[in-house]
Amino acid sequence: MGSPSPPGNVVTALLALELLGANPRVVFGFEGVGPARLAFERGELNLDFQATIVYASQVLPLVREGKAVPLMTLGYINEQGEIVRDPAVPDLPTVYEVYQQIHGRKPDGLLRWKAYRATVAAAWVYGRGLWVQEGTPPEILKPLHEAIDRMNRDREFQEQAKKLLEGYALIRGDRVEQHVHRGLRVTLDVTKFIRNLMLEKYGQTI
Amino acid sequence: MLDAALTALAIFADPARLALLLAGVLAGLVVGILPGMGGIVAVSLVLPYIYRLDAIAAAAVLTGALAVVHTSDTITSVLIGAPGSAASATSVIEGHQLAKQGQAARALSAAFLSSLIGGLIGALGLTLSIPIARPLVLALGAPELFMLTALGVSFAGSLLGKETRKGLLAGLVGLLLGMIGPSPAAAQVRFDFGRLYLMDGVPLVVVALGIFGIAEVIGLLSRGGAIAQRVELGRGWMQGIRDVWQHRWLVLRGALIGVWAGILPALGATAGTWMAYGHVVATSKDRSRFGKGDIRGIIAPEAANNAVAAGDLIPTLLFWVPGSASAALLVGSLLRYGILPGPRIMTEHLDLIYVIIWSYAIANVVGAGICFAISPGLAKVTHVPFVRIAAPVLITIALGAYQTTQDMGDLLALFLMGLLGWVMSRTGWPRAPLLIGFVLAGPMERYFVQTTGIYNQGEWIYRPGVLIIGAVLVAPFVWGLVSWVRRRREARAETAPAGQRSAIDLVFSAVMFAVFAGALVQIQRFVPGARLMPLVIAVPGVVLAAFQLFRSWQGRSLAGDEGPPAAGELRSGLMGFLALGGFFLLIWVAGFHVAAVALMLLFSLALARMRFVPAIVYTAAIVAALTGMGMLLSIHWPVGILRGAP
Repeated sequence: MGSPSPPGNVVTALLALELLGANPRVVFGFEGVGPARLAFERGELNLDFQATIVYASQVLPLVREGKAVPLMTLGYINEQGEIVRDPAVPDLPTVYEVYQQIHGRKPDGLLRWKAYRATVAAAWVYGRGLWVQEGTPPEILKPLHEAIDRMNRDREFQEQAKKLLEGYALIRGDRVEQHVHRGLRVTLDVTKFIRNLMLEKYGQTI
Repeated sequence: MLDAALTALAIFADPARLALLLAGVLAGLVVGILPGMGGIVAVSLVLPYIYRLDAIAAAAVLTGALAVVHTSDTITSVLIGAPGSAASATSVIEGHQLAKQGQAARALSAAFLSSLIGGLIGALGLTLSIPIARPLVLALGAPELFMLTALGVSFAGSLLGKETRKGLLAGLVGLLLGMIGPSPAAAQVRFDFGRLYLMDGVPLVVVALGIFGIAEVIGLLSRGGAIAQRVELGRGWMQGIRDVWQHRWLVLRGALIGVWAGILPALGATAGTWMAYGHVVATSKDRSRFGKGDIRGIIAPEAANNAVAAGDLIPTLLFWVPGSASAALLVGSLLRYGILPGPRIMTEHLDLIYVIIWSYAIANVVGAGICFAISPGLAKVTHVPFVRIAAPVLITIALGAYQTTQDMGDLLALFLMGLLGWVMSRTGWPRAPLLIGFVLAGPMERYFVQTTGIYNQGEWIYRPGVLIIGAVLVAPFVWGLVSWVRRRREARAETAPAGQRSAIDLVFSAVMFAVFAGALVQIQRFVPGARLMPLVIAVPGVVLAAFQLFRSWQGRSLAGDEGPPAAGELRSGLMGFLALGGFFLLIWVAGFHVAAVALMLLFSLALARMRFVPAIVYTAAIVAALTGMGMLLSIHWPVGILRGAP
């Protein structure tokens, strides 16, 4: 598998593999995940990790040709704060499901699971949000929240979103606030675990 | 396919669209002329205006701006010797030499025509390679790409300049300079000496402007007079066109190299231009004129740098792996219209692809035409006493360098690079390999780390592509060794006369040795992932530098073509650097405008001996023009610590 250095968002993939008990040989020194994908297409690498928007435009044609086999997704955190299948690729199992298939039990409570989940929430699901200053009055927040509902219902937006956002709907901040807080609260043992793993197994400081 | 191409052409029948394309071209031309500013500035300049346009018009404006930057950057390179962008530094080497011989018109017309044809070949190449691009891009793996970068540096080092030893050393210095900053494979910052500025590496623009621009300006000043001693009017234009016709196959080869450098990920315009230059030198029978104004050294690189931008679009649009920062900006703006790069773009947005290709072709024709039209006037600059234009040139170079990170470190690095470039040019060290090494250092290390990471212990060496490139790489050395042995046998009796020992060359060789040795010591503390490449550079560097030091001590290190510099010239050169240092210091303390006024007045009153009133008017006009231009391009001004800058 290829990764830029420092690994950035690829940390999540490395943690997922760690959770499952895999020991990938990771080559650092790629400029980004794009060049790593090219190396995968050339056959130099045999494991790859891409965001869904790139998966749809670049990897899906390879899958159809039989040159790539999709394994799993990180999963998507819904409004109830649960990790569910990714709405953009509902056919693929999540890391959570794959763990259950392999080990026959749920990973909840494991330190490795907590580490993985923390980065999914921070880097992927809640990492792309619009934020306003603390203490913004509710009369300003309310129309913003309502606008999100209206946009999600809007036909034209749905059409465009299908192409550019891979069909993810916008999430209202007030509905998921608690989950965001919980998801972003990371205990010291988790950060220590991630740091140690990256340093000792991959020689990377983050 | 043809159908789509014609439909796309019909789009330009709309005068509004054509006008937009022209606006993009004009922006690209202006940015190209300004020293050190290239494609990124051009795209960022037009970016704010495209949001009200539709996708087609936006693509036309952006492509127009990108396409011509490498046409007009030649003007600055040839006339003043300051590279208009990093990719046109080759034209400083050959074109500026021609300008000094009074042949600026010939150099420019050959360059514009090659740029034009190169751009058109690039557009055609882009069209033809779209269906076959995928296998092409995927054919070369990390080991082959690593070997290609190594080939680039080694060719440059062994072919440019009189002595292979000095050329290779210069190339290694460039590679070592490129190692400064974050390691691409391990989280470690190298050779930063605790300076925040160095943590991100030295910017390419600063290196190119220093090594060539500053060094050239100081060199001209210390020699005195105008750039061209001899004046040749009129005929030069036709001569340039005849030159291009005579070397028409060279134009084609240069353009093809450019397209390829664009297609291969992570090489980019600057590397493509230099590879074309290296190719010309390598394949020419008579190499004696290179570095002294050889028209072939202009034609191929100029064709290449315009073609690169076309090749660049292939990885950008088909693979979503932008080949350059400006291409990445282009993709970013297309995303806004819901256009995603990828194989689908060929079926869903074929019209847009052809709009881009046509824009590219039209922009190249129009851009070259405009350059032809304005250059006769600009070429007269070479006959003006140089002290009169030196100040505005230095000011724009400083401003161009400062745009890269907006840190005073830019100016300090520019000063040091200028000093390095000047010493090198005075002591017969070729500067081109240094810049090539610097440009290729990044991709070379990436591909090396990937190669050693992906393949087991050296098995990559036996890949056929690697073996072929390796053979091409060592061929010049084997050939050199054979002819050396043969010469030695023939002329055993005559011992080569020991030349004069040159103090400045000796000191410089010693510094070179110290730098490599110091780097070796530093490397010991790096983590394994960050250590590999610097080690591969520093070990041969130390050996070669020791040998060079020995030769220089013997007095057998050849000086430049102009012989060892006279003491008076050295003194005035050092005075020039003193004035430059003062100028940068004043920028740091009192801000840009105060320093610019001071430098203008110093040069026009004290050096050019202008009278008081014209000097004031000249100063006011230049500063006002710069300020106006700065507002248009939203340039960052150094404000100086007196006004609260950090």
